[in-house]
This record gives sequence, structure tokens and C-alpha cells, in this order.
Amino acid sequence: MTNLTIKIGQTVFKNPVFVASGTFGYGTEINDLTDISALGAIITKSITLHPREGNPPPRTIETLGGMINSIGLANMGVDNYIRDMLPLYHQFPTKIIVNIAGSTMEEYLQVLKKFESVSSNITGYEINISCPNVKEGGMAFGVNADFTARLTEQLRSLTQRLLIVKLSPNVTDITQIGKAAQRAGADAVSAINTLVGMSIDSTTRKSNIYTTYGGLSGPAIKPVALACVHKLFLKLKIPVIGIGGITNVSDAIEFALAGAVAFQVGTANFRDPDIGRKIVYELDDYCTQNNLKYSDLKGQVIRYQ
Amino acid sequence: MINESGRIISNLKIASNIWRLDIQLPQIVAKRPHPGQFVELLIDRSFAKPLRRPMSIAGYTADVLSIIYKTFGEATRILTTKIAGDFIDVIGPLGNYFELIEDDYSTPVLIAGGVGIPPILWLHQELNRQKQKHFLIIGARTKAEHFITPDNENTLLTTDDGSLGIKGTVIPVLKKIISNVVGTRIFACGPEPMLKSIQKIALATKQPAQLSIESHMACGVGLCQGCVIKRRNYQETEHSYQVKYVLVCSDGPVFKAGEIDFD
Repeated sequence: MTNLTIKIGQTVFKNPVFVASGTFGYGTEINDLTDISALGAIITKSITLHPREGNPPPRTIETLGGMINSIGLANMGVDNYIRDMLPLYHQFPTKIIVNIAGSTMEEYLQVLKKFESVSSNITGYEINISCPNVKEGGMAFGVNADFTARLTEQLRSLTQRLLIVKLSPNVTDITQIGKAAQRAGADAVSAINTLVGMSIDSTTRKSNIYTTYGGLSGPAIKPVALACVHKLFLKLKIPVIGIGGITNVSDAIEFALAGAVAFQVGTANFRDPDIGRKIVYELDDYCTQNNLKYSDLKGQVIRYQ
Repeated sequence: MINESGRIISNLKIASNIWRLDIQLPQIVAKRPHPGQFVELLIDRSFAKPLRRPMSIAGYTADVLSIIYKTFGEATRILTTKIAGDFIDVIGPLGNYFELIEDDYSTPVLIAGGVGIPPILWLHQELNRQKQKHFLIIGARTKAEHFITPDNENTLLTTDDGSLGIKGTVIPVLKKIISNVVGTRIFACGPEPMLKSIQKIALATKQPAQLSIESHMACGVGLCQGCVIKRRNYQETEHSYQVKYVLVCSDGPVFKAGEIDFD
């Protein structure tokens, strides 16, 4: 499967098929339903400094071609994670990228410091500055280019590992935030996180999500994601990792044509936890049949102007 | 848990808005599911409705798994269009199940309403097989929604409008049984208001109860953390995880009455 090898920063991945944060647990839960060794990388659920219960229910609702979630970063916290989960990644069959979230800049820094202070074979970090479902931090940071730059710079000074900044589409110009991350030393950006959305039950007149607004994901957001990836590709020198409604091999090709070096499968994992592995095999067939490498497609979309 | 594509043996309407679906699923059946467990059905092959639907297992024979479902929205309407010979993608068996502890001192009381009927009916069949005396109470709004015929005097049907069996809800019937029988244990599945009333009675009369909960689920296998319900007695701390909330899909769907809080 050499057709699929890709490089981000100094890290070589066996293929460009990653699974998105929050859609695959910690990577250890569903070995019954898929072969994780097929995946290029697993991005973990967001880890915060302290454990978090998350938001009250209802937390999810299906919408046309997608879903809205407002989980609220429920997670065990970095100390429990380092103690209980990191040892499980010893001799793990795929790369682990830890997703980090926080309510203050200090929290992000402390979480990353804790990871850097222990020995582990995690590959790098994806920084979640784009979660729409928490009151403090999260997306408030991701819409601010200055904050993004300051946070990225601090994190960069603390680690040699791969550093990816995950961008929010809920901004006027995503490339401004992307450029800030690049300027501050990020190895790559991933785009997009969920779009702020709302769902209402017309019979009961109730909001379908406890927090009223949540994050829209799934095939419904794919066109938005493609546009963001393409804009970032045109403006940035660092690689762009595409996320948003990817469910099959044609989606994977479209994201490459828009400019992505790799992509993350998200909501589709809830429908089929084996979908990532299937895309790897189909993508390999596609590349073999067309005698090309996945990376050859990068940014090759044919435009009218 | 197994992901298996199963051939539909039959898909038939058995009462008003109630359908029975039989699917050949040898690998899932080989796991010997229990009453209370569920499967996740992939109903819409397009991505208009991207998520699976959790459905209680109603029983199995040889290599065929049965599901009894209520038509509710667009996804269940699509499900009614599937015919014998079609294939459907299924993940299961999922979740925990009703625990039938050997106990000579109390009488099981099984209560079901709406989409909660299938697992309770299956439990009823199990108890019949074990020749254990028990009560079965099934509630519906009206006669047309009932699809079983009582097999003995301890099977009681209720309807809100009195068109069949006892008029009213299952609650007064449960209260009467508890006051007449020394020692009961309750097994219930159905709409939340019904479960909430049963929980209240069970706790007040100190009768052990196992309640099977419904919830919106995105994945059904513990990945999305979407289907939480609040615990009843928990020690609130500033920073905690899974102390206040439990996952219906993988910690449940069956909980003891004292474990969860519907409010």
C-alpha cells in the first residue's frame, strides 16, 4: 500500500485515513468491529486537565444527512488518561494522536506538559480550539487569530512531537486562523470542526439538544468542509488534514483534490465503525488502478477560473 | 458484539403500527442474547438518515433473530418497506440484560408499554419455560395496539380507553399486585413516564425493580457518549467523569430502580 503513504511534518503515516476525535473513543473500545491496524492514525477523544462529566442529555439528535452533538467534552482527564490508557498504546498497531482541549490557555499547556513528562509512543497532538459545546475556551479561542497564535507558540515550545491545530468553520475567514497557527509553528491544521447548529421538535416545541445549540457533523457539512480545506490549501504552506462528512472513497479523493494531505472520518464511524478500514482498501485499489499516489491528487481540482 | 448482514425472513404488520421483523443472523444469535439486549439496525442505505436505530431483541430461534418495532418516524417507515430476501446490516447483541436471579421468595412482575413490549414478552416466555409463576402487565392506548392474547389469568392487558382488558394504565394494576402478593420483583420496559411511575412505586414499597431505558443513540457501542442518563445517588465533586452520568448503551439499557434519576 505504498501508494497511500503520506508525510506530515517529519512523521510518515502508512495511509491518509484517520478517525476523528470524539468518534472513535480512545481507540481501544471497538476491536470487535474493525481492524484498527488498517488506519493511518486514531485521533483520541478530547483530553482536558480535569475529568469532565459533559453536558446534560439530550446530547445528540439526527438531522438530514448528519447529526448535532453537544457532548461537552466528557472525558476522564489527563491524569487518569496517562495512568490507564497510555500503557495500552504500547506496541499499538496504529499511530495515536492525542486531542487536547481546555478552558484557559494554561490548561492546554498543563495537559501537554503532562504528556511530555512521561514516556509514551504517542505520535503527536491535535489542539481543539474549536469545540462549540463548552462555555469557556473551546471555540472562543478558535475564532481569535491572536489567541490561536499565542497558544500554538507556547505549545510549540513544549514539544517536538507533531502539532496539529483543529480549526473551526464558525469564523469569517478560516485562513486567518490557519495562518496564525502556521506562523506560530504548527506542523499542520485540521479542518473542519462542527458547525454550530440547532434542532427543534415541532410537536413538543422543545429544543432537541439540552444546550440549545450543538455541533453539526456528517455528510451535510461536506461542501462547507471542502471549501474550507481548499481555501486553507491556497493560503497555507503547512499541510491541511480534511474533516467533514467523509463516508467513502470518492469523498476521500475529493478532499485530496481540494488540497488535503490526509483526512479524518468522523460521524460515519457511528454508522459503521469499520468504515475507515474499508476506505483504506478502496483507496488503495483506486490508486493502483489509476497508477498514482494519493498525494499526487493534492490540490489538483480542475477549476473554471 | 458482531456486525453482520442478515437476510430478512419476514417483515409483517401484527397490530396497529406494530411490525415483526425476522432476520437470519447466525453469528449474532450464536452469542446467545438475553432479554433486554438490543441491536443497531442500519435502515437507510442513503445517508439522509445516517445513524442506525437501536431496537430491542424480541427473541430468537435457531439462527433467526426477531424484532418487534413500532412505526414512529421516517426510519421505521423505511423499515416497513423491507421484504423477505432483502439484506439488512445489524450490530449486536448490545448492552446488558434483565437479571433473573433464582429466588423462591418473590414473584416476578413484568410490565411493558409501547416499544417496551418485545423484551418483556421474551422474558415472559423465558419464565414460562422455567415454569416460574409470574405476572405480566401490558399497557396500550387502545385495543388495536395490543398484539398478544393472554395465556393465563396472570397476564393482564390494559388500555387507556378501556377498549380491551382493564381500563387505565398499568400503574394501578401494579399497585394492586404489590399489595396482594408478599414479595415481588419488577421488570419493566416502556415509555419514560411509565418507568418513572414504576420507579416511584418500587422505591416506596421497597420492591426490587429493573428498568430498561430508551435513549437517543448515535452509535450504540459507547463511542459517542451521547446516550447518558443521570445517576440517582452520586457524590458530586468539582471534577468527575461518569460519576453523575452513565451511558444507556453500554452501562444499560437495564438499570436498577435505585440507580437512575429521570428528572
